[in-house]
Amino acid sequence: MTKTPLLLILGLSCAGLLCGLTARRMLQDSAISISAPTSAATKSNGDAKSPGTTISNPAKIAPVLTLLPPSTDTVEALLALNDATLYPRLAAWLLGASEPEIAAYWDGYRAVKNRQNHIVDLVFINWTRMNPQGAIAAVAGTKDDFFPWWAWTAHDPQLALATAISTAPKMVDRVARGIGRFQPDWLRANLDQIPEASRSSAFATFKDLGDTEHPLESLKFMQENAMGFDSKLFKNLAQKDPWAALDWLKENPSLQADRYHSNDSPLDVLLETMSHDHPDDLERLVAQTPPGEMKRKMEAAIFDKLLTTDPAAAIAQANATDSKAIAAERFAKIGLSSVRTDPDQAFEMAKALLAINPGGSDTSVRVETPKMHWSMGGSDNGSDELLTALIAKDPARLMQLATESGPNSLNASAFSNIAHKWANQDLVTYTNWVNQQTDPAIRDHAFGPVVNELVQLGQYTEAIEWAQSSKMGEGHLMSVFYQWGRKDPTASAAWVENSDLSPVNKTRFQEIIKKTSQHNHE
Amino acid sequence: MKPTSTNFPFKAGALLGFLAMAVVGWNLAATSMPATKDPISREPTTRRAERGTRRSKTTGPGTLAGQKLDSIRAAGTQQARLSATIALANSLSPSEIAAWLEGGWFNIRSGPERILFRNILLARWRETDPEAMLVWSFKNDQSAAQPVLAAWAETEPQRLIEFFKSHPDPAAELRSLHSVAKAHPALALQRLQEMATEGMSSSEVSNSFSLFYLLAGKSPAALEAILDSLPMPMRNQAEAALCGQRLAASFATEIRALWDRPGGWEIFQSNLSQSPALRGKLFDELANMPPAWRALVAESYYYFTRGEEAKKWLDADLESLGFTAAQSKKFRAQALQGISYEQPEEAIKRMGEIELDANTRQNLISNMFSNLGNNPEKAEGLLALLTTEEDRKLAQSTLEARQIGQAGGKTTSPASWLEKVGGMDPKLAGNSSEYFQMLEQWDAGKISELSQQFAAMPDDTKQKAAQVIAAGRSYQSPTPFAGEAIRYLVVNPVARQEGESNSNTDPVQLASVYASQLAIKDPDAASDWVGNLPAGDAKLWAQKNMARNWAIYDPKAAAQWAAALPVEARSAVQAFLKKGE
Repeated sequence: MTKTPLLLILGLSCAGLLCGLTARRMLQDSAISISAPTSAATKSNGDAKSPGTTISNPAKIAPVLTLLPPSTDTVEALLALNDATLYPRLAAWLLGASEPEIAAYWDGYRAVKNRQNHIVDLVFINWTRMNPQGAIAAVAGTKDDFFPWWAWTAHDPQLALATAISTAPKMVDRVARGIGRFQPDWLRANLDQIPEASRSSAFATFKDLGDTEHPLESLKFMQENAMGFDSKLFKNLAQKDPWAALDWLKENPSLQADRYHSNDSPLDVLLETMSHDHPDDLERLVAQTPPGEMKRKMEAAIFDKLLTTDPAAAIAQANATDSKAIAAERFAKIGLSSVRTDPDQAFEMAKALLAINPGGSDTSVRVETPKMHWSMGGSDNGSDELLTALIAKDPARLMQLATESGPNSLNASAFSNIAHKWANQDLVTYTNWVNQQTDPAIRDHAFGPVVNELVQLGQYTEAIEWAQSSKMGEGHLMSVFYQWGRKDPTASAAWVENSDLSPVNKTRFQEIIKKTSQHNHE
Repeated sequence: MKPTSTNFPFKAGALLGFLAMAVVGWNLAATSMPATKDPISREPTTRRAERGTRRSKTTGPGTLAGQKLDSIRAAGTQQARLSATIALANSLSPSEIAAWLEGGWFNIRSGPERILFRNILLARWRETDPEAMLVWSFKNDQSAAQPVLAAWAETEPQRLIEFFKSHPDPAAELRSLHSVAKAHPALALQRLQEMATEGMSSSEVSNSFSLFYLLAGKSPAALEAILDSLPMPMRNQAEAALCGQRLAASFATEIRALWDRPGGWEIFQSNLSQSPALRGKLFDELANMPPAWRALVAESYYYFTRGEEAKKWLDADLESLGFTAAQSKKFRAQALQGISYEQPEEAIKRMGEIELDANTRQNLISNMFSNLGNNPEKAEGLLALLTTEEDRKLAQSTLEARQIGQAGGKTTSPASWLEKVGGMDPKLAGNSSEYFQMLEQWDAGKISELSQQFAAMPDDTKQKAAQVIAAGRSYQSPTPFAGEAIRYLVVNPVARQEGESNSNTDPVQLASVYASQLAIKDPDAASDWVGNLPAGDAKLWAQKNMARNWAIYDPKAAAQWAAALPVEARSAVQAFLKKGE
């Protein structure tokens, strides 16, 4: 009596478990069953959307496999197309085309003027999907004979490679290139199957399409096979998993080096990607990172973002920065972002920059010991670029800022830098500005670029006139005779001889001309 | 009558059991579901201890896109996968395309699907919203923009100009105007004039030269007519371009005009990039040109001794053309270099005819052999042509270094690296770039092994190796490995002859440079490294320089560090910091 009810409970419980499991599995299975094709899915215009494919609302997503309805195109209609609609329409048509139909299309397309390789690839990807040997036979002996070998690897790399090795050794390189392009997973696992001489062909195309599926494995494979570093693949890794990308950088310390101060070092790629795709992670990363170059770059990436979202906060942050080098970089960034849209703000930023850094933007490593003074590197923090952009806008206004930038502003390199650039770009306007200056100190300091430009133009006598009008004329004169002596010792020596210079100066300058002329002839 | 009173609890229990287990089953099914529902959880992880605090967000449109791809992956046949891929690409609205491409959401990498998906999206985008596609491609893939820009330049030039007005990119616009100018020169000129008035940076002004050159060829009168309206830097470019076209049409007349014109040489030089044939034409005028121009040609000897002209310079009687013996020597050495790229056999044959200094000879041989790593037969043939044992040794070491460089150091072990580097003459360590570039391909484990093996080297070979490593630091950022070698040289200084000075062995200079570089990169590591140096001059100067360079980016931290130093060092470092302000 007592056994039966217990068995009933046990039996029903088991049935319940099975029902629960089965019901959920059935629901799941039904979700990946093939749904009926929708007509909207075949449209190539911008508004075409099949129901349930929007990505804005997770609740609407169902992992259904939406297939394409049969294409109604014809060979003739496709051959008549030569705009961007060809690729999607041809791709859809090729899926349902028979081999003779593909051959007929190819027969028409191969002679098209300005044919495009991505269309040829598409044809052979589909042809080799159906009958690789047929595709190979169709183009054998023509200049297009390699396309099917390359395309075949998109479907069956193993067989394409084995067939090429045994029957068409000249195509092994093409097959290897195809494998690199279409089959990175297979290549990573089967590199030893590719003849050594053809491996570089596979490596050459390996990174063409990036790898958002297995970026870390691809980066490791590249490293193991001395293929160098690829920033696109690294970006794929950073997008997928920024922390794994950071680990990769730490495991490969040399990648952290930025010898050339480029803007696309691996760290830059990581930070730009994090700033765009994972901003929260970037904030957390900065908090975890010790002081130094890496942290500065992270903070710079955050500042760049702040500048786009809240320029007023960015200006406040720049003003509150302790390091002059970092403050200058920030002022330059703000200024450059507003040169076109708000030139007044750009000039304000230049003023701030010149006030903290009248000596220019020197961030180079500087070493001083009893036996040497040495400097190296130094990144362009954008200040030079800002000043150059403002010279193009209103050079006189910028010169005014430079003269007022501090107690010793006229001796600072920023003043000289701006003056030389302006004189180099537009000597006439610059000399007009110099002539308008009433402050003798400014005039004296502003003469140098005029002299220099006149020398560059070969107008030596005019350069001498300008040099003689300056209190710093002697230095300028020495420079003129040095340059003139190099270019034309006879004419320069004759000019000195016939000039009304003092005998002492005549001797000095003739000596300079003689020395530079001798040096030039060595 | 049935005994209901006794059976009811059992039946109720059975029913409850059924329901409870059904719930359990439902949940079990969920936990045992294949991971295809969550692409993030399927990803191979590199998470370690910090996973909890480091995990990125796993929701958002990228995750949802992953769900769509799961159904494509699950399709039974390749035809079905391709069909579903095309359907997905066709289903996205233009506003979604940028996110899919930029986010790399279509992450089926193997097979033809990815390229089909990408090409369809780009083709649809080009049809529906080409301006948006251009904005995206300028940032991500310039090659995608080219077909649109080329088509617009030919058939819709005004649309192209409007695009750049709303999306300013002067460098790209100048390149596109070059294409516009081929069919619509008047429009290109008008736009260039507008850009000039709006203001262009100096690099943009320089980049405008090739466009001016094209316009000067297409419609010189129209260009001359607007000269006065251009800002001076642009006007200079335009005048130089007009001059360039006249040089191409009538070289003998125009070059004489330039000889007498201020800035004529600069105008000639700027046209060399557009018309390399000017080099040959100038060669034919060497005997006629004024001495000032001949001096300028001699200064720029490397410009003129290239390509087809190289052999002419090698064969010419340069002295009788007015060049000095020293100038002629430079021309000939450079010309030999010029022909060595295309005709190395000829270059080797003629090396004996010319007096070459040791450096030039070394460079010539290195250049000839550095590109033959993949062509052993040709390398063998050239080696046989070299006449001295010294030249052959140099060529062989170049080939070897190149092969090592190509293999990326994969085949080189830390032990053999140290053996090679330790066997080098420290004075010639500057030629060891391949060995230091190789370290860039090594992972942290292999570098650590290298450090351990360096530490275990016997002192006699270790000091030699340390000198080469210290000298090679310039090829790398300041690595801990270089730091170990420099520290060794501070502790075990190289004995110097009286009066000899070598910055590669001077402990004060080595320590100061390394500490300064490290301070910029990693101030904590720099302060540890300096702290571990033995007391003495090298340590004190390293402290001073480290603090000064640290202060560039973090003046407060550098000042705090200096304030915490022992009293003698503190005052010296603080005074040094003050002097550098």
